[in-house]
Amino acid sequence: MNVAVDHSGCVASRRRRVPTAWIVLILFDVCLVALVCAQDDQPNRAVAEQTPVGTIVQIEGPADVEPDDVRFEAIDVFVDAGDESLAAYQFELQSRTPGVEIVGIEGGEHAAFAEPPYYDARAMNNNRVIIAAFNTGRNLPSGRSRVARIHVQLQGPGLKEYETKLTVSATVNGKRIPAEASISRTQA
Amino acid sequence: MSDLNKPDIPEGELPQEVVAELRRRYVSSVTIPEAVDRAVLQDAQSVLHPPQPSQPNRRTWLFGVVTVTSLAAVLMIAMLPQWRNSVPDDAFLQMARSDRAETAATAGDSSSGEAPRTIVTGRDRQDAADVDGDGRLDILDAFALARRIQTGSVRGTVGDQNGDGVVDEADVDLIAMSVVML
Repeated sequence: MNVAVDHSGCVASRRRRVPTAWIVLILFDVCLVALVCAQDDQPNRAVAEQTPVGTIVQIEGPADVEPDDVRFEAIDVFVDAGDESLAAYQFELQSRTPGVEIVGIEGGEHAAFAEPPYYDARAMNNNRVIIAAFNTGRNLPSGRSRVARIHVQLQGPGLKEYETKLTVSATVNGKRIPAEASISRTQA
Repeated sequence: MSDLNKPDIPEGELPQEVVAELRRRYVSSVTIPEAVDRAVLQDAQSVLHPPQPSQPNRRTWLFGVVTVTSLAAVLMIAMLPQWRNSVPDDAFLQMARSDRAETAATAGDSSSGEAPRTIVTGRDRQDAADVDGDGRLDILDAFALARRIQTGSVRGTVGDQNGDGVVDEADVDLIAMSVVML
């Protein structure tokens, strides 16, 4: 009689434990998924908040050339950091009209950015480039300064349209600062 | 009425031994409750046939698999940032070096006439080089690492992008290359 009672009690307690374990496991998995989603979402949100808006710039070109005529120009890239000293920048240029190919990149006028910036070689013979540079020294430009020069090969007459985007501008301490980027055709 | 069933000898005249034997043989059996009978049977079975270790059923297996999978997921999530920050990529570095040389040769023909410091990226290393920890990869990560190197505040191998165990200019270049990659 005692044997029967003990046996049935053991079975009953086991049947009670299994659902509890399942509930704990399911809650654990839900928390895990929430954690993963939160981790994935956080950088994206930060990037979305900080992604700058591009600016459209038109540069006039000669109208009296044949559609197949090819010419070369240089585009100066300026960054205006105001009163702050510019220690790092990241800039993107993309042509929005056909017949524009990037053929070369060189540095800027100030000694801090005299060397050519970082860029992807695949930008050559392409219509888009990202350039970036920094300087850890103390001799840094402030105000409006030419930070790079981009050489392009143009085909056909008329104006060419570019989209510019200054992604990063920062001081020597790595603090982001509001700055404005602009481009213009190099004056001979 | 027949006299066949009538005993030939009256009961009172039977020998005492016979009467005693007859009473012993025809006594009514003891009734045992069914519950007692079952308990005794189970007790006997437990002694004679001890219970075998229970085999895990399908539900137990499923529970175990889900548990192990969850723990593996936790481990992966915990380890993922470290993997991202410490994956050495010799192929990437090699490609970058060759591209740098190629670009230098190409840009050497440009109007600047200077030896360009051009470095080219190969593929996405978005999260591997987030040195400043702001959740995005940009030139400030390379800048931050360069400043650490300059001030001698490099902590261990944090920022070691190429996995050579040394944090130096090559790692800064790798991050910068990732930034300008198309």
